Amino acid sequence: MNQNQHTNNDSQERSYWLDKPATLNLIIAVLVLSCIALFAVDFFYHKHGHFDFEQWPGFYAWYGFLSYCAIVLTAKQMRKLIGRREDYYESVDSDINNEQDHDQS
Amino acid sequence: MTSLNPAVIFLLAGLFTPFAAVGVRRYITLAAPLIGLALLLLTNHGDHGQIEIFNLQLVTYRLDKLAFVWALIFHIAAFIGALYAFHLKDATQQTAALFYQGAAIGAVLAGDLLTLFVWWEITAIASVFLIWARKTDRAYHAGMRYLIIQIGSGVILLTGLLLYNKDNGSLAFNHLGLESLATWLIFIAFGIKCAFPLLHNWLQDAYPEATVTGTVILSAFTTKLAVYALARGYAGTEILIWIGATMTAFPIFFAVIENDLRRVLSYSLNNQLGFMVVGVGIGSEMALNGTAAHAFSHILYKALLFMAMGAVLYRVKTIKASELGGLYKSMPWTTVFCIIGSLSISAFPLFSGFISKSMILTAAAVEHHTIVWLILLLASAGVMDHSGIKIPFFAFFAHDSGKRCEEAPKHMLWAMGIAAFMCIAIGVYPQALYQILPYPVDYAPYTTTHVITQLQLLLFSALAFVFLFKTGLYPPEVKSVNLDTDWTYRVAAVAVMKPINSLTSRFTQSVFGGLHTMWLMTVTTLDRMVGPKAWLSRSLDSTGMVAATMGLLFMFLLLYLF
Repeated sequence: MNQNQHTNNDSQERSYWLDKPATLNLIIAVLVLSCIALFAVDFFYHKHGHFDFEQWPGFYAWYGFLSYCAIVLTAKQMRKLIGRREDYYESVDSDINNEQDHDQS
Repeated sequence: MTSLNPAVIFLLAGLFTPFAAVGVRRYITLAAPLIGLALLLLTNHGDHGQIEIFNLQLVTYRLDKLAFVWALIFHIAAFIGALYAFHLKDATQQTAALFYQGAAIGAVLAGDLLTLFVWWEITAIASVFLIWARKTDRAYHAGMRYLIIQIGSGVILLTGLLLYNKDNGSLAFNHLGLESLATWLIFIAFGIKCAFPLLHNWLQDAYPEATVTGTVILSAFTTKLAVYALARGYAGTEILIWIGATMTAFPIFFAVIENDLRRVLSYSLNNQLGFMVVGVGIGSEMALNGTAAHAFSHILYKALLFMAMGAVLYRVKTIKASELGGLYKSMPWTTVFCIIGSLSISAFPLFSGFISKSMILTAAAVEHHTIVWLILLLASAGVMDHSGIKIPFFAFFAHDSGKRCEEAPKHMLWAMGIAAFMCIAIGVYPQALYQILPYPVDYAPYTTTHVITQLQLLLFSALAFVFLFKTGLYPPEVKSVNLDTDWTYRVAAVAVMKPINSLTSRFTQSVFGGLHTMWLMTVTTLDRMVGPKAWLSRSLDSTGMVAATMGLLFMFLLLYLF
């Protein structure tokens, strides 16, 4: 496997569309534009909801954005409390090189 | 028309498998689900396989609308799992899988609690071999912990059902409700298998330690069997709404910072179960339909995600996010299938999660469970992070790890392809799924409001990811483990027990002179009393034995009389 796995930046490696920074910027731009459009749509249709607060403009948009940030940033702080070294419970042995072994009958 | 239980087919196949040639075995594992499915479809709804043992009326095969949904998806999952594991030569895993799948199917088709218990225990025992087959020390220990907890659930179930039989004179498995000690015990037994909060950690502990194919198979059955059992016995039990809401929320925090991507998926699995449990707790027709539909679509996309991560582990030999990245270059098909799984679990319109999860949220809204509804919405944004973005992003994109490998084997791609196709098919044509739900469906998922609000929620979550990632606030993937409730029995309990153990052993040592001496003493004493030279064994006739038995019986009689 080694010859397959090592980092190779030699000329044989084709360049990938997704590796170009311009592509990434394009994807982000599309995402931002979609978000703006989706937010704006809220002013142009009648929303059927079960709760009053669903009628607030962009309720789902900001609820999604804020929830996401709150979850990720809280989890990041949790790492300080519950994060441990990889060999906390037992030595790191398992993951590597034993996925073919149990193929044997 | 037939009334042969499909589970029997799996058991027969499982008994036959170890003796079959390697080339034949893999076809047996594929054929069993197909034959079982044919039997299931040919069976009339109703009670079959009624037997009477010790005055107990047992219904070993009950098919109704609720059981049918689970039995059907279990067969599909068994087939997909067998196809994914087609390369295996290991008879242990193939046999264990067949027994496990058959037992899970038998359990959802059980019409009484005793039959349920028997299948319940077989799922526990058979499934642990899928973990042990990894053949590492870690897997061995994780499997042991898993087995103890699973068997524990079975013992509690047995206690509960015996008490229930004493109270009610019946073992019929219908609505139970939290009315007595018996039904509480059964509830806890179900709750352990369903990974209720604080009872959950066996799942994240054991599933990621199973083999590449084992985890895929494990992900489908045990926990969804528990959801079925709750839906059957505890629909409308209010406490389940809160248990479920907690389940949707807390695992997402662990999933965000977990490095092992199959463990991330295990936390995510826990979170998805929460939605189903909320549905059971609400207990309205729409909510129970939602639970059944969500179990169905969840099994498919969760298996799909585990298959994609399994393929990565199979090829790259690691599944740690900190070691991965850029794999789309090597595994384009796996990448596409994984993204389909991610879109489904995140509940994007046109994918399966969208048409099932929303039924549960709507049911919560209709009953005006405002706080629960807000928690579920928050959890939906969380799903978008750990399963929608984190899994595909850190495995296939992100920073290029430089790792290059082959694409997943063909049969794995086919298995993923079938699951991906079904995720989209259900999303595009939900009526197919709605038709088989337990109650008539009065729900339209594709309304303007629903599509727009859902897209707002998901795309703004994605925007939040871009924002956090670009500003460097997103927690980096680092080599680490995170403590969870397993810490209490892996570290704390050990720390408490060690001094007690050493004290006891020192005490016994001072009295009996150590375990070895004690052992010798026991053996010699036994030998002296009943060994070949003992007086009981000396004569060829059995006079001594009869005399001793008579003496014992006489003593018993005396004790009984006074």
